[in-house]
Amino acid sequence: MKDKKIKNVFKDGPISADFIANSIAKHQAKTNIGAHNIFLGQVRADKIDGKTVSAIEYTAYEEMANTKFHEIREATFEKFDLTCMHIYHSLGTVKAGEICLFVFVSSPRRKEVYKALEYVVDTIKTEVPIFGKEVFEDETHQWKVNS
Amino acid sequence: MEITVKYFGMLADITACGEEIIDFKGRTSTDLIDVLCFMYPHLKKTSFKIAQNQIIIQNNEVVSANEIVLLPPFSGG
Repeated sequence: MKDKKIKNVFKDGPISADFIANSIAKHQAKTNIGAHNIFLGQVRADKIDGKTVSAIEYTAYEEMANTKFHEIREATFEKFDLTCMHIYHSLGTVKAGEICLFVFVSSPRRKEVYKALEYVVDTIKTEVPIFGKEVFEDETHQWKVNS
Repeated sequence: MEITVKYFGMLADITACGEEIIDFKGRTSTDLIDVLCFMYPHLKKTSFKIAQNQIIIQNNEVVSANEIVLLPPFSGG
């Protein structure tokens, strides 16, 4: 299902397990789907120079980021045989162990969702202007760099 | 011309502001980088891209928008 309207992908704070579960439940009505694939990005408590990351604070150039997410959606529907896809990314503080990115792709068949999900997540990491500030337990910070 | 320059992520740490209006007398993105690096010498050591109308522009492209956004490396996900 293509959708020309630019959606707001951002959610304030972490993405809850309930939200993810509800999202899955909503797809029970779409019985042409045979395979879902889900990516969940979780904040890691990295240890850097003896200090532990306690949270990431996300900011974004929201207008451009939502435009980029829209372009990624369009490109993904062009490349893969998907029934639907959903992307949510956190803004603000997400503590270690909480979910900051939720990508959900669905298709009649499984092979498409494996390829599509990897494409979407990899493209988000390189193309979307989102910035993560890694906050340590002592409240100092450093800016995250995607590897 | 007066342009609004917005800073994100580590760039806002360097400039100590999220956005500001500057009187830009140059023409291209390279001219603008020179002005901003003069204002904030730490920018020289930092990797960033420039967006105008939500599109990333290259060196020596003409600055025509009245809002310019400086973007550090992306780190979503």
